[in-house]
Amino acid sequence: MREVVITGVGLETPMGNTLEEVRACYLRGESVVSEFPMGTSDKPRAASWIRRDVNQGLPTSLVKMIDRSVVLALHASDRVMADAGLVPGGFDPFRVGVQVGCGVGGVESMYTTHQALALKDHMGPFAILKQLPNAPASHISIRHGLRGETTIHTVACSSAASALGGAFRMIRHGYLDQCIAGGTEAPLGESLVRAWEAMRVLARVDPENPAATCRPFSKNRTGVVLGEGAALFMLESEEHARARGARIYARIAGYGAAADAAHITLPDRTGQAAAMRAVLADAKLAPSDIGYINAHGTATAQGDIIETQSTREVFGADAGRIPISSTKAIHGHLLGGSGSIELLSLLIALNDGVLAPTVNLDEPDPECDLDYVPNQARTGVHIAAAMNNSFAFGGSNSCLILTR
Amino acid sequence: MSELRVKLLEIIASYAPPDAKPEAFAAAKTIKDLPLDSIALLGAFDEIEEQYEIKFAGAATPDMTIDEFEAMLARLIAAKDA
Repeated sequence: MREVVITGVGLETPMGNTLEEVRACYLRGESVVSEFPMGTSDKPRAASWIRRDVNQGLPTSLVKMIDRSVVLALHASDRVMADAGLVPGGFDPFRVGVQVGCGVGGVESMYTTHQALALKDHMGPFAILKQLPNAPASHISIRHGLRGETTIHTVACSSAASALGGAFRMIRHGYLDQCIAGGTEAPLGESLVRAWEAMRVLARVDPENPAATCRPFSKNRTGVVLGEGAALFMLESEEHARARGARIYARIAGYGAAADAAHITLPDRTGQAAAMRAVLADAKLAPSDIGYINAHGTATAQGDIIETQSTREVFGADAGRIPISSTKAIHGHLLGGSGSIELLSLLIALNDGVLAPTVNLDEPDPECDLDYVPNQARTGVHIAAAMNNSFAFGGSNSCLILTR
Repeated sequence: MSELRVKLLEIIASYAPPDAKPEAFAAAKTIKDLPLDSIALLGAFDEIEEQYEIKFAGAATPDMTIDEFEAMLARLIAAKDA
């Protein structure tokens, strides 16, 4: 089995598009969630969204046939290719794959299509292309000429983690040398936002301070805040990376996944604990080796408590010692993209000794009684291994461990 | 070149790949000469139909000349406006 490392980072996020900007965001302890205007409705909404015109920089002819989730992924893919130092003709295209997680993808485009059908009896010729579930991965493959295995992972909120895990295994077992992996999501259209509202999953907007709407592990948390963005990484066999003198950000030490087999929405501590144990076993690490965890931490009433319980179950006496944060309070919940945007906090913790805070955590829930790094980033921290948790609707749990 | 043809070629060009040469549009004699693949061409036809509130897509064939295409659209637009 080969060792797998990360040799490139490519972002298109509301926090910024470089690791430096993301780290600065953590250090400021500020959420990029803000008031989110939607359609003609005057109902207050909050979300984390990208303000620049992301269609700039892509061919108009392409933008016309793709969903926004693909647009974000393509920008991130340009940046990860550049950051990893891959230039056309400089790599074997058959040995570079694409594994992308995307939970809802073109659903918003589907809604727009159906609206045109209902209101104008019109069906555009790009309707299928805009909804194509594998479009994010395929367009990345096409744009950069990557001919290795190209797959989309649709596992709700574990999509990106599943994609990263899949890429990790493909490289580890020799099927690929390099792979763009991560996630993308653009769920801020009217149909999706209202669908989440109808499910009563979204947080009540803080009228005084919309940035304080998402409050993971807080006593006064009220639910999820949606966000959009894409975060992609270049995964590579260590041998291949060293041979070409690539910069190495971190090592992927393990991937573990397990199912709740319990309920379509309610999380289950046994399934979560099984995924955490699986990744520890895969990485050949003990709970005491883990120096930081990025929690799933969606700020739902049940979810945060159950994650606290499952973490206690796995880490035992070490649970109280390990700094844990939910960065969703900063960048919102990217659904299928969450596992990749959250992996950034592991890279920054390992490389810069900066632990991302859980912002808006002024009054902790007594049932969420671990060290959730409230409000302020910690600096000067030396850790050797960090874990990321992604727990999805449907009970699909995926965890990753990075080491130096 | 008529105002209509300029507009039509402008819409069609917005569906072309970035490496399409601008002169290829004016030089095209037939629809199949246009530097677009079939799905992109369908997109362009759809936008033309939407913009001018007409329907023609099935009638535009690969061998139709651009002159015939323009004339057909001019007739449809005139009929709609009549």
